[in-house]
Amino acid sequence: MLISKLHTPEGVKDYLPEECREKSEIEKNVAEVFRKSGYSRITSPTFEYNDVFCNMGGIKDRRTYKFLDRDGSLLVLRPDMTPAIARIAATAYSEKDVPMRFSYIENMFRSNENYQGKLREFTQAGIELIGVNSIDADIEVLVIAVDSLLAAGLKDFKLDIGHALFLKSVIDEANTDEKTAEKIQQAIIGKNYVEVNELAEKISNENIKYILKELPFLIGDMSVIDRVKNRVKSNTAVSALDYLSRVYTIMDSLGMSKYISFDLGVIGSMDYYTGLIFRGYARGTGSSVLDGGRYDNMVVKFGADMPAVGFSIKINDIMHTRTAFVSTDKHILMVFTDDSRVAAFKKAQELREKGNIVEMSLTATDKAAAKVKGFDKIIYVDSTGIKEAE
Amino acid sequence: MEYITFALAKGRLADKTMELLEKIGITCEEMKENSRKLIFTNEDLKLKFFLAKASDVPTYVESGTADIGIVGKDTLLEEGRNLYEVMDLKMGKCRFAVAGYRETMDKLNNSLDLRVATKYPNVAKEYFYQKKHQTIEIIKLHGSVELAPIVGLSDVIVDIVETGSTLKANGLEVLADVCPVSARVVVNRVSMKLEHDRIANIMKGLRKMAGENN
Repeated sequence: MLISKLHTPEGVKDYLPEECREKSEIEKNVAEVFRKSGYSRITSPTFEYNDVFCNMGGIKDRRTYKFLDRDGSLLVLRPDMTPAIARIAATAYSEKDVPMRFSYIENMFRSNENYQGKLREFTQAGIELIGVNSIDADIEVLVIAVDSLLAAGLKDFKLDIGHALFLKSVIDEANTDEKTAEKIQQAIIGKNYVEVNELAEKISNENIKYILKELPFLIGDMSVIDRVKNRVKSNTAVSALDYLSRVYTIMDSLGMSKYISFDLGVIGSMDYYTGLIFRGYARGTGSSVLDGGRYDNMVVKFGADMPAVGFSIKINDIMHTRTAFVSTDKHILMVFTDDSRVAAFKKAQELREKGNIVEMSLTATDKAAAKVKGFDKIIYVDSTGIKEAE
Repeated sequence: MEYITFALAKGRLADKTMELLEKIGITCEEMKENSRKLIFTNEDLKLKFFLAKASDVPTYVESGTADIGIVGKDTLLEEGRNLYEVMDLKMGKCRFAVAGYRETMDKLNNSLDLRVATKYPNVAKEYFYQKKHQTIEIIKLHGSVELAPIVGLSDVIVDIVETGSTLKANGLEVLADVCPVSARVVVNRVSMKLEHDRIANIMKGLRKMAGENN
């Protein structure tokens, strides 16, 4: 029989000191980037009514943890922060508060498949900029995305930008029957390019056929835009490409284009995203570490028609891929005797105020373990005075 | 330059894949030697290869421990992982089918308590629930699925069928086709972005070769 009280369930975990320090260090640095850009931290309940998250187009309903309240209403452990913030923006604020800048660092809960090493409770840090639909708003958020990943300690990463409406209008332009169009869209969402390829064969418009068949190769620098821009005719597709080039050009002028590449193969699934979509990828991970984009149709579902753009970073996923922070704090062990106790505690306070980490020696074995535990210094206090040793 | 790692489904498919890769200049001499090694390297091209059980290939690719995987569509359908399916190699062609005794045909089409034995419960569910809108009972097996209807464990089976000779030898036959199956190239989501140029080159080479095979 499983001795449950000795274990944690699959997908949740303890963070022992080293890991916990690493995690809070990342959170602190990312939070600082958010704060300096004028984003106010907010929190929301860990559980809410299921209706807030249901049918929002984000997390699938069957992947959330639900339970019944005393009165029988359906509650859910927060699977995603964006709908909660959309609810807050629509109910606690109004048009005159625009633009609203909110940030958060919270734990999310999702029921992942068994035995795949995926966390079911994990931390996301993110921002939402609500009330403005403009290229400046999108650039602001993209710049913060780059700065946050840098602040989190990542070096080798890319932010892929795409547009939710580009492929939608390409599919429209294909002029196929509704069923085929839906199939193409689903295949693209499922990243099944074999099926896209087969479905594209039936399309008579050669330009559209080319774009759909080339999808796996429409990832990379500015040249991918050049390869397709003369092949689309619809205003939506043309302006989506134009928009992406403008975003790239501005990011380039800001010296950030080395972090940006294009992915024209993204599509807003279930109408969640309505414009710019971006995802951050870092070496050493298997999936994106940052997901974001413009979602102009969500806040209206809570009663206030406001555009919005934002992103979230998966803190747990970047923990093992980054270069560790080097702590500059000195870690000191304070050894004292019965008659020097007061002097030792006073000295410890004094050193802590100067930014050191000071631990009081409480057992006889402390000293021997000091090296192993990584103390930088041992300070001995006795009736004759204070002595230091490295 | 980082290594690009291939995960190949063990068996005939892996051999055929290596032959195909060789034609586009991707070789791994180390793999041809008979050794107990689990992972093989081509230092010049910065490539690594390993063989894995077919159903494990999507796991390696989804996690990013392998960048590229070569595996049958049957496995992809069953595992349902989040990865790029970029190419049909048109090798290892076969199909998913419902098989059983001819006499069960009626039950297959009308019963609401049909018992289906299979190694692929997700594929069976997708077919019966989504396509046929029929509620069934699934019995998961790990091999020799044909036994199930013979000994009376199930009414029918859902399995991959190549020639159908095993079925025939046991008095069973294909009662319905589910979908065709062939070998696919899959790519990890992050690798697709961070190693796009190198992976795109491999894909373009393979597309050309696979096209010529048809």
